[in-house]
Amino acid sequence: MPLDAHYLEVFKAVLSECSMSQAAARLRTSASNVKRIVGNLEHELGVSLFDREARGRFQPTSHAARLDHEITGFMREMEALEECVFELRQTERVLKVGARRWLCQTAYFVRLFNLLRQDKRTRVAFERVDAGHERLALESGVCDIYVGFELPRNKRLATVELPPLPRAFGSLREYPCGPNLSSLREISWGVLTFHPQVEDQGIAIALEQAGAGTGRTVDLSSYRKWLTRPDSGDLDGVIAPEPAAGAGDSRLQWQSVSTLPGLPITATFLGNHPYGFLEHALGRVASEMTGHALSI
Amino acid sequence: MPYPFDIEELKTFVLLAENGHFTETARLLGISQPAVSQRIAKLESAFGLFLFTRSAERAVLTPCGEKVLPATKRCVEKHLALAARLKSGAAIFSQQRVRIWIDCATLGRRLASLLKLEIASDPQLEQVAPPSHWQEGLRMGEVDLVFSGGFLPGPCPWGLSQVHAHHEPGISAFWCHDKFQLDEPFTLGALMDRPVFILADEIVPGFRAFIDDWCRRIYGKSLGNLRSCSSSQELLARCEAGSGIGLLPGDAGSRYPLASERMAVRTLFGGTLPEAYTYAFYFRAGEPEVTLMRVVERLTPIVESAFKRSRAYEAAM
Repeated sequence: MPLDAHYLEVFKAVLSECSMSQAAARLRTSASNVKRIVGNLEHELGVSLFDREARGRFQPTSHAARLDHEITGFMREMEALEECVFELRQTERVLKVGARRWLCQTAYFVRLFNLLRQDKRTRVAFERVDAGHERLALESGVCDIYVGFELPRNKRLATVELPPLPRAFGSLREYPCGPNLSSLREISWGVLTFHPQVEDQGIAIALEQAGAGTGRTVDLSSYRKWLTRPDSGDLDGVIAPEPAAGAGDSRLQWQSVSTLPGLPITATFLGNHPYGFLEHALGRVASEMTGHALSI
Repeated sequence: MPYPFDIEELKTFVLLAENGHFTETARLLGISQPAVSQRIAKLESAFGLFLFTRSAERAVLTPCGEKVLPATKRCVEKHLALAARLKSGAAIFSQQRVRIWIDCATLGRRLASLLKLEIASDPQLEQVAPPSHWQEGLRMGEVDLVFSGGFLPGPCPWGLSQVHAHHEPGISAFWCHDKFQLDEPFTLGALMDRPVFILADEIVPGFRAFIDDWCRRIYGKSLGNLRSCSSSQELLARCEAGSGIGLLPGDAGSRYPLASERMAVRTLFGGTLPEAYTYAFYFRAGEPEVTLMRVVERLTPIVESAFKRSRAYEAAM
């Protein structure tokens, strides 16, 4: 098949080197291989492509020139297509990051999102994903990356671990001793927990055992209510991931609680996603976020 | 690696974009359906772009897919044209004549011989035997130019380009005066329970479907006694013998000898179908051969005048 990519490579090499042995060297194959392929080409086309009468007088025939001209015409179309694809890659790609509503309102997510935007390879957009719809969102293309708690294992999905989501203590009044856990004993506190993150159910108990006194577990909807109206209800403070600037009551003060383990967050995407750079981009973001956390 | 993209993957993309179904594309390419999905996935990775939205059976182009489709089509057509010419005994290396096939199925004998005579006198053209399926034959390089016609212009077949050469409006109906008395003004409704002859669907694709559809819409039912003929000679013979009423696209009277004393001829849909019967030149898309285009340019007025002469001749008979 004269237009076979491999044949073409050989033909072009012999044409430019004007020697079969030199072409073989350039292509890192044997001279007999090159001879065979040129022979096949000449046989299929029914014309001779190279005059190999005497030594040192290796010349392409006019047929070779004609074939080269035809092939070049076709290669130009391929190159035009390549240019079109490159241009679309620069301008048209959008990386859609999906996450649950509670996560997208945290300072952690805002930092992650902005780090992704620094990647010049694509524009970035946010898509809200509801509970239970994570895998569907990925498979239907609603979002390209899902950020949140780890999804059930699936052979079609790939994951990148992100730094743990740190928790902080938010309260209207500042507690001067800092948020070391014993100072919590005096106040009525709650801790935001997620279902079905089983380990989180134990967090209230763990806090109690660490000397923080008795606290309450707070679910997402109660937490949201408290966030906007912290003086209603009877909670003096809540342990939760630090919200993004502007989310929640502006009077709230947040102090990091580094003694508590952070929430495990992963980024998930389709294994065969066309954007081949996802793993690398997420890896870069993960290491930048870890470094940043350490520098505090 | 001289090619940035795999040509088979590009071809699969173009076909799927045009017909929208994985099964149909698989059938056209002669591969399995999962193979189609795999090729598309590989191409999306090579491009780094989404080409189709992820839905079950139908393939819908994304905006990116739509933008990259024209350039891809040009690539594939160029490849097809070049491959066809290279395969057909290295036609690009010798100044070979343009191989042409004239589809005479609906031309009538007089017109067919007129055209063949014109073409035979042209040294650049070589008439070849009819390829088994002319569209494939064109794509594969068995023939370079096909002159064929039928009912309504229709979309251009995949991988080919067309240049219209001739068209006639309306549909002709003809029958033996004394065998059938039909009301005036003549409508298709008059043929409801009469024996009606048309050419088979392989010769005039879409004609039967049009008649059926029209009758169902206007009269609530299709023609009860509609029969296909495998050639125009058969159709004419039957109608002249009085076995039924004949229906042909365009001005049949200008192409076939319909003896006016015995046969009644009427035209329908003259206004609604101005291009009911069209003839066109077909050649490979992406074909750069200037000779071919010059041939088409030269032949088009010849074709038109041949049709005119034939019409005048039949009118005089």
